[in-house]
Amino acid sequence: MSRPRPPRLLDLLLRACLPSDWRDDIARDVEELFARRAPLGRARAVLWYAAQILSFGWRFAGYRSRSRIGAEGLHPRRARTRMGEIWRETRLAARSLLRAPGFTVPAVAVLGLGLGASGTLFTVVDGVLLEPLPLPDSHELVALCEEHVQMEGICIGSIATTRDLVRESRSLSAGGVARGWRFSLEDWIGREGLSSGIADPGFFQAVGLNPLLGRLFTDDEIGPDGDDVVLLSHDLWVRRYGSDPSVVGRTVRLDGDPAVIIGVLPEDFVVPTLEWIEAWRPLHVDPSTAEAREWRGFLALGRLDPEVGVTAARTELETLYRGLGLQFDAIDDGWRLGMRPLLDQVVGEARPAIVSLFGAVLLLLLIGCFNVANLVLARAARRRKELSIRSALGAGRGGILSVLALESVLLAVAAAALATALTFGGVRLFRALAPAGLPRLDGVGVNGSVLVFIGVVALVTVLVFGLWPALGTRHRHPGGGMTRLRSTGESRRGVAVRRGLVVAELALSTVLLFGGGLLVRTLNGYASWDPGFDRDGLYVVSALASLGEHPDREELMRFWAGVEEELRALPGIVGVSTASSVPLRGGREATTYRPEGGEDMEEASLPSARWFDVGPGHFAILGVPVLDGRELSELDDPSTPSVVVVNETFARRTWPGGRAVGRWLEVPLDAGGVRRMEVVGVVGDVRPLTPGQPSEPEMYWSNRQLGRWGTLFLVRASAGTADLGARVRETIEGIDPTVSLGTMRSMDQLLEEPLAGPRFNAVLAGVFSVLAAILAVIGLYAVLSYGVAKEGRTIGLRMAMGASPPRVLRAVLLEAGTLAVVGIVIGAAGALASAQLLGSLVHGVSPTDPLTLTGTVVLLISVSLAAAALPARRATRIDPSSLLREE
Amino acid sequence: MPKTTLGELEELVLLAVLRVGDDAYGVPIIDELGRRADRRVAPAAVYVTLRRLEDAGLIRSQLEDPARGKPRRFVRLTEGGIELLKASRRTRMKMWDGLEPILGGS
Repeated sequence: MSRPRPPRLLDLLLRACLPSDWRDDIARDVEELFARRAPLGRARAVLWYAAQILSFGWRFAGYRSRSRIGAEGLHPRRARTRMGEIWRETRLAARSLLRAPGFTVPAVAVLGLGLGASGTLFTVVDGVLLEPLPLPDSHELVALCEEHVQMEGICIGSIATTRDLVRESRSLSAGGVARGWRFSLEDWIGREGLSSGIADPGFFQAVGLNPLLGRLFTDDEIGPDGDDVVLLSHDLWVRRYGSDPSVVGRTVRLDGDPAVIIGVLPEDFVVPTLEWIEAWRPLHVDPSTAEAREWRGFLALGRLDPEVGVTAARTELETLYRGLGLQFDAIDDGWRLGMRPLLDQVVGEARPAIVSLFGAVLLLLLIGCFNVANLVLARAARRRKELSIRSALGAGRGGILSVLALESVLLAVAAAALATALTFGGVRLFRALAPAGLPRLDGVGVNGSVLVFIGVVALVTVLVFGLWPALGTRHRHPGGGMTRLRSTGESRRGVAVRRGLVVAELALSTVLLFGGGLLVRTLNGYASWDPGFDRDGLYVVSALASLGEHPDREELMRFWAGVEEELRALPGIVGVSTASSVPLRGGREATTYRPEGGEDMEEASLPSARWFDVGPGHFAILGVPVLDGRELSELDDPSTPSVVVVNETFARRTWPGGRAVGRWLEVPLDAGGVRRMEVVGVVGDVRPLTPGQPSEPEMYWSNRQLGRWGTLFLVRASAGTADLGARVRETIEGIDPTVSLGTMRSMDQLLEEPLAGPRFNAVLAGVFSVLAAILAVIGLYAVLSYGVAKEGRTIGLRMAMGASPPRVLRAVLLEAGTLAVVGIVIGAAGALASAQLLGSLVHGVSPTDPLTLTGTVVLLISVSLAAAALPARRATRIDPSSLLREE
Repeated sequence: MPKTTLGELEELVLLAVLRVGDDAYGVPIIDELGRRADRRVAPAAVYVTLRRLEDAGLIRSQLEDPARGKPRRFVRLTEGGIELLKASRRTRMKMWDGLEPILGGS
């Protein structure tokens, strides 16, 4: 393994501080010392290295070969004098910075802003993506995902398959399944619908959990004949029972059935993605049944044996899964096993957004650094006279270096202080703005490594650009600057470097602005979602009937019909329907089906579609048009033939060119066998929320023929919606108090949730884009106004010779325009090349959208010219006679 | 040549060079100062001192290829350096002489 090396840039800086004949030797030795420190923490080692640069710069700057032996140490007066010198020079440097607010304020602000934004996102990346999960040895935890080719990215697991994998695998030391499962709790305090779940003993074992009180589940408690027991979360135990340890062993009623509280989970126990669960019951399904293998509605977790590598474990589990596929029909060719670290599974969809934002922030930081570089270099060119005078008066290169270094350090300290404050504020703002679904947001907080990051970047930026001018004076005769005082200024190289920086800034701003534009357009696409029905006055509430009260499915379906009837009678309500899901709420259920005409199809090649069970009049209430046939009605009940309604896309894909109404299709049932249904109607497609996404095939069967215990009530209200939620709740609870009800929400409220993510991305990207554009404009302005000030004499002379103001104006604007165009063209090419990186965040707009690109280019050219206008006007107002007098 | 006396760090560095022997270059010298004299000296201070000692002719430095690793600047004491250390010790011994009852033997 090669030895850790300090960053190249710091290495160069260190070398610049060393005497030439010992340069390589000392640098090698310091590198050796660095390599010893690096394993203890690279960031700290880099900080140490940066401190060495100052230390060497300081000591060798003051070193003279005439120095007498015995002049060091043991001489307090001299030491005091040197401290006094440092203090004096620091004050000088501070005063020099304060005297130039036109330089200091923008430099600190720009660097502080860039670093503050980076610090914020660095904190988020650290907290969400990098920080390990709060579980013992969490790196050993993996999600065991059964993935179907037609449901990409969806990770689900089944009871029986997980159990087989854990039992037969040598790479897993434990494993099990869990999922949310609502039930109501009734005790001596009262009744409450709980955010609850079910799990098997292996699940808790895999997580590595010991209960705070009592015990966990045992294998005997699993299945339909198991004991009725319940585990409480720490939160529920504190909230409901006031942390009373004597509740363990007491009996409560769950969904009406008695159950014993057997334990309380520890406070810090959080199951990722199931953190909301307050009470756990053992699985009520017999793991040995076929149903237990087909019901893939679980989070399946495993704990890897630390002795076995991840790749070996993955290979073994995939092989075992294929073996199970040969034994059981439930695992056909479409299924495969995906094993991934639990952290990846938890962070999942948030990763691309955060990584893109981090990229945007780094671009912003880079622009900020270029800007500071520009300001520092422009200032240095202006100070050439001062430095030359110092040099002529006998200040060595080291002395000048130390003055510049001190100024740079002061700048870095100020920028880092600003950035630290901005980071604390930024993280709070981020947490307030972030969409509710962003995982692990609670754990995000500013920590030491973020502050080290800020300090190191601030110091390196200002040191590199702050010392550059001094390094540039290396071989210059002290008189050089003096004799050049009257000439028009800095070297061609200096001008080229600063122009290059402006071009780079504009290029990066183009990339950011274009990316921001795409995200804003994506948000617009979401916000202008037109599902093809009327959202106004439409409300949704979820309801779950108790299995204890309604054990019979047919009775249950009559019960739901009765509730619908009662709700329809309420004043202000113009329509009521039920459905297993509605647009924006649920709708993840999909199944394969065998269509009429597909009798010879292999099981594995059957098409699949999303399915819903809905009540009569569902489409009329939503306002979705019936294109052919009829919609579901009260007459479709268990006594009549099974019917189904499909959407336009389903009809077109399944029977292209033919009529769907009158044909049949078969779907597999959970309990085994199939159910044949006749298509009685075709309804219009409901446009997906994600802009640019095509409609999916969907089928709707009647919940009067195949109803379930959970349903959503859709209520269309005409007026008086203020207490609508309360009235609906009262009505339903009046009929059956055991029904667990969710909170009633309007379609517009439901739309807020999926909008949160894109809005968040768009707001942040918008902020970054605007900041980037502002920074680029400041950079351009600094270069041009400096150029005008510098060229003032030439311009004045030209005007004295008869050049007209418009001609001077044109020359300045031409320079600005050229820089802008070069930068923007490079940036546009970069933006188009990097657009694919935004792919998963941009919907409904091409990642190379020409309209957004044109807008970006026009905007940047306009602001560039505006930035140039002020210095250009100043140029035309130069009074030639005053300049001549100065000569 | 004017009469020369050593500063404390200079004396310690010269002694460290002698102690480390043939392998004396920057890093082992810094280590030796830390280990034996219990002094955490900034590397830059050590190199500036070495430089000063070389300019005064008390040590001689030479770039050498060690048996293993990269070339290093090794330093050795000159005759003058050794003489100065001896003189320094003589001076101190004279000053210490007779003070043991007050300052103790160690």
